Amino acid sequence: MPTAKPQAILNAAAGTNLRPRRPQRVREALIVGGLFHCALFSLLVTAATIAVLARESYAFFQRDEVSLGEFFLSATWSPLLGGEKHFGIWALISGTMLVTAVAMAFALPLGLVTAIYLSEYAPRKLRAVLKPALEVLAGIPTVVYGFFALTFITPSLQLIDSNFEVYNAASAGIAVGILCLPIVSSLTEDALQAVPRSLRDAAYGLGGTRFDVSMKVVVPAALSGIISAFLLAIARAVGETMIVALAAGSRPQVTADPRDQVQTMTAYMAQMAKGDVSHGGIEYLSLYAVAATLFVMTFALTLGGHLVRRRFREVYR
Amino acid sequence: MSESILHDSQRRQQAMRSTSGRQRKDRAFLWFCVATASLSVLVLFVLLGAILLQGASHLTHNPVQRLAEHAARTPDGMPPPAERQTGPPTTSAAPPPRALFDQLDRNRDERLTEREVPRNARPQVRRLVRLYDRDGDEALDPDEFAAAAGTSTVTWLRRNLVSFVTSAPHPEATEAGVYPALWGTVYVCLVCAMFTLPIGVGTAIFLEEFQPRRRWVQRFHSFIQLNIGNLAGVPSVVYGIIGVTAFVNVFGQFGHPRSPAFEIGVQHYDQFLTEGDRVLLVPVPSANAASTVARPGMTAFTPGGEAVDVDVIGPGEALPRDPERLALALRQGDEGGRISDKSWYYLRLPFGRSVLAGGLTLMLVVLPIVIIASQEALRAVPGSLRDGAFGLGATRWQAIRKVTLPAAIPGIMTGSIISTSRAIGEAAPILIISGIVYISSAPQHLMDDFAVLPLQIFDWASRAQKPFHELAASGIIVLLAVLLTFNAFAVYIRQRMQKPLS
Repeated sequence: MPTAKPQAILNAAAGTNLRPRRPQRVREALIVGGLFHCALFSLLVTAATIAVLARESYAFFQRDEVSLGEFFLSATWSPLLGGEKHFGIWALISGTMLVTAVAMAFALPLGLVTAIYLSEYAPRKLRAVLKPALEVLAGIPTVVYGFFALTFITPSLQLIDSNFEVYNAASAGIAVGILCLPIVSSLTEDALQAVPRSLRDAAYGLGGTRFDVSMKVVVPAALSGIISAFLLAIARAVGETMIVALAAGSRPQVTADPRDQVQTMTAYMAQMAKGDVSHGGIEYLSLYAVAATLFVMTFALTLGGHLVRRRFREVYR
Repeated sequence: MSESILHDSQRRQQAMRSTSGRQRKDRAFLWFCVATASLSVLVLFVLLGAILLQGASHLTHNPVQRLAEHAARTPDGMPPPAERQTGPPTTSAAPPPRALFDQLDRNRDERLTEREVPRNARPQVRRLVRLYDRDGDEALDPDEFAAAAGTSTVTWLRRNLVSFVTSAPHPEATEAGVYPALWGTVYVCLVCAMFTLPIGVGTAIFLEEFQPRRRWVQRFHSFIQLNIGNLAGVPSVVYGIIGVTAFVNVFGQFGHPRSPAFEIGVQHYDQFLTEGDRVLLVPVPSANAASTVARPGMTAFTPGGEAVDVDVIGPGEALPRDPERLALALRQGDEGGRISDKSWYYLRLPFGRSVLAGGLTLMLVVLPIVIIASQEALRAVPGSLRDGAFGLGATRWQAIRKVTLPAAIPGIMTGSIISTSRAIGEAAPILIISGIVYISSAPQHLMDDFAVLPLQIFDWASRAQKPFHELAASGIIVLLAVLLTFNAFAVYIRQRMQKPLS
């Protein structure tokens, strides 16, 4: 170290040693080690999650009643009915996708527009009211949304069209959409805010209206951030449990009709947990296989979201 | 020349047209935005309004009023059950309390005694008896009844709320409450916070304050960072199922939760009832030891802890006459019933469906959020403060301990409380680990079974009857009140402790 010499002189001059004393150094090393292990803990959680899901899913596929091909290719899911049990994950995935599609049809446009409004249009005072309101919406427990879907959205939908079943995908989807709305709008707004002021100024200087500036400059510049927000919101919708467990029903089927009842992957898990399945049975193991599928799907979506956003951050820093 | 002027004006016109068109578009989009934003606010109000209305109809319900409707509607003494179950309470004015009482009192012997009223009406009657007649006598005092019937809605709200948060779940909607679930939520969240905060803040400090310079350590840092972001996106049901494997069963390494391999803080006894009707306890080493059989020379303990010699009577022998000896007499071959005396620090492996397992599972759910929130709080501390500390000769840890952490603590606490409050509302992981359980008391120790508020709400909401939906709405009001308290506390800390940093 080049500073060693002056420091030595300084030390000699002052008659003190400026290097931390030995006990201090040991203590410091211990503390840093402790903090390091805290950080390692998160890696451990991921590793344990993957290991547990993989091991139990492997045990599931070892069973005679189920084969890997049936699981990934078939669309009949009937784990409880009588003699013949079928485990075709596509019935559950299609339910999940239907609910997610309804939710995103609701949350993505509304969230995007709300974010543009908050970031580009809204007067400061209104912003000070709207943002907390959205945060409140984000802080409400999901079981509350489920209850709302069941006791308010479903009856309202049934008023409009009597073909809606008591449990239906649309009602659950709308509730999930309301849940995702604040996530989309706040993440999107962050992305919009990260676009440098100079880009906006240049666009205004060229005579653009606010609409031109937002739509032709800010949104394209923030596109990767917006996509990342969308992906994270979709992941959230896919993993949402209590709303679909309450409002979407429990009939696993492939349908595109949101008035029908469907069963999502998460709702299946909730149903099994509610009805206390026997430990070690095939139904019990199927929980792990479904959880593993869910984990892979959401993990891929969030990973994609984070990678997209990371790239985006590098561009504008 | 004129051509060029024409051209220019045309162009200007065109430009103006296009400007006004664009401005129209701008204005249209503005209105569209305003409509959208108001829609989200509207959704919030409708959501809260719908729930408050339903909850209010349960929480402000006046049993006297309902009794009045009941009495008015059933001249033959039999209430129409279907109507009582589904119909909302009619808002028709009740008769004057005194007249109503006379009406009820006239028929009381036939239909309004506790045993004879139809099941549907019983809770109301029992409630009245409980509320107004402390002696347990079923007769209603006319003056008290009149006073109660005339009581304001606010008083009823207070009474119903108190009874709602102090009573256990019950098959009758009007009798049910959230007491065990409320305390279960509090305990589980405390356990969760106790584990989450140190690990979360530690990770945040490590990631923010120990930024490495070496390349591969940097990679490691950003890998952990990415991993935390991903963990935050994993659905909570998945954590639930990990919790089942890792905490409830501890990977199946210590046997079934019902017969744990390792226990402390518990003493198991076999309980005997002597011929003289006294309870005697014989200590046994573990919960799954063979049950004790009465044999001569056995030593037992009274519930007070006093050691006594048991008088074991063989087959065919006569019982002792002396009551003192009779009180300690057992027949040979009697078997005891297993009971356990658990202290507050009772621990076992595996954890089973306990408060500890619930708290640890919720830790998995909120840990990434706490880490991210704490990191943001640490990042908000200006670098100049750190540089100042280093300039004074502080080591890294000294700088953190004395400068960065004190400056960041309000932000860390606010963020952590808000993230931990997410654990209060989480139902899915708890549903996976413990299913729907009916418990009538608050958890006593870390290994006790528990219920939580969101799950209680889920249970009520998933039933078909309307009274249970109203009950669920009341539960939601309590849950939101708990959340609001937490958030208000977080905001208070932020207001109180945060100083301008730069």
